[in-house]
Amino acid sequence: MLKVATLLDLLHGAGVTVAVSMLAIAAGIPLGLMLAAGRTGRIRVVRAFCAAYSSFVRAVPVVTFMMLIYFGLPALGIALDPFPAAVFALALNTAAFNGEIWRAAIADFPHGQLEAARAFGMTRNVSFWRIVFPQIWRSSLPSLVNEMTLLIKVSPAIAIIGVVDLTRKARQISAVTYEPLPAFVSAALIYGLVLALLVAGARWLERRLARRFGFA
Amino acid sequence: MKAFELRRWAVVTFLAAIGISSAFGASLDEIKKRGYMVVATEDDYPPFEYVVNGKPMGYDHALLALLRKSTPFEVRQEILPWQGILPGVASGKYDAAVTAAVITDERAKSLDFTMPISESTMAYVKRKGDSRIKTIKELTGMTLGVQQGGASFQVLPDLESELKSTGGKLGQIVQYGAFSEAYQDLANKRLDAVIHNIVSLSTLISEKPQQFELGQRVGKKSYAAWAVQKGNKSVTDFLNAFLAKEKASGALKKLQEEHLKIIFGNLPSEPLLPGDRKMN
Repeated sequence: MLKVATLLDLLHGAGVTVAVSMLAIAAGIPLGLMLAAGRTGRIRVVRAFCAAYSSFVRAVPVVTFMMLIYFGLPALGIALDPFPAAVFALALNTAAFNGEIWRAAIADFPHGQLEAARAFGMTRNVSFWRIVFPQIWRSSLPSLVNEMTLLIKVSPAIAIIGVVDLTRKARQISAVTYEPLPAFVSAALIYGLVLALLVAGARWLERRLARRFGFA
Repeated sequence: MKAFELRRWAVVTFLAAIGISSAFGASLDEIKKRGYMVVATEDDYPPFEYVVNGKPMGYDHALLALLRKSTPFEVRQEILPWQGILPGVASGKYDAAVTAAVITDERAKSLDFTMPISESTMAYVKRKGDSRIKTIKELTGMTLGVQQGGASFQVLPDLESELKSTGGKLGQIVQYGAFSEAYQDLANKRLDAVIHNIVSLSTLISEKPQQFELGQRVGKKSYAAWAVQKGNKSVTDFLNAFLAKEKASGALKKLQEEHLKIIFGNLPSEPLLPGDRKMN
């Protein structure tokens, strides 16, 4: 069994996990939308850059990406502290996956509505914000929430640069007690609780949207 | 993702980091000018460095406290896992790794070391009362736990030749990220023995005398020291002068007794490769 002080220490790690993940999610969703806009836009260079970016980031393991950001960027004159580097790396990572979700939603969008918007004299920009976006964010919500849960589960990668998250706390505790099980089981329960809260929140939002718009 | 893929990527990043930024380490003059030195320590390596309720402790932390007292500049500390420490030092992000890094031939290619702070010869630990294993000879064909990329992994060729000399062979090897998991698997009988340095194993035995039993030393005599970026002589010399002072005053010995539960009375005054070989 874990002592109370140890459990509080573990909860401190959980706080770090939640804070880093939420900041990365908050930054990653709009970044993903920008990526998708770039990939479906009209400028060829931007299209190529966005495609290359999301292929690269989706292919590189998160731990490696984290090390590139933290140990590699100083060579280019960008030295980040561990916490901002962790948020930055996770945000850039989740943005690539969110970008694919947004891109699929944009590609699936009914053409007739866009043609109707154009017939009414809307520019591409106006029709995106007035017609496309209000619908695709609702239809993308379940996929985006799914990516959020995946992000929380890859977040232990931030430990490699010295940010002590929930998993790292569990490892520190087990290094001293020589018993990994109690610490890791407690950590698993805390992860479960965090994800359950996130999913419950998303369900609540989806139900509200369904009531208001007739579909999610 | 499979562990070996992850390791390969880590190595690639490591090499890339050295390649792009070998000029970035700060010399002692630059450290004095900017007013601080950055050192990296580990967080799950008792009795050298570990964390209890968020508070860093252990042999290296005690030494770090002495270092802070004797330097005219600030010593900033970053605590991170082993897998991030050497890439950080090699890339110049940290001026020194204040951790018990075992001096190996492979590491000596990309890092410089201070004089040893501890002996770190490998040994094996077995379950208490496991009568199948009495000496190294009986490790033949047994399932052994080591740390991925650690010195316990690098001692395996030595162990293999020791076993071959008595007609035995190396059994299955399981690699772990952290030793606490290897000890758990040893207790669970998934492993027959775990290989680690003699100091960490002595600490384990003093914590869990009912569960585990210390075996013999494995491989060549080796040492642990602090690591510095390759070629950063001014920082290495500075740390060596500090360690020489603490050794002469007897403080090093006192800290060994307090933290390591073993005293290494005649540590060499320069880093030596396994088997007491000089650096070239």
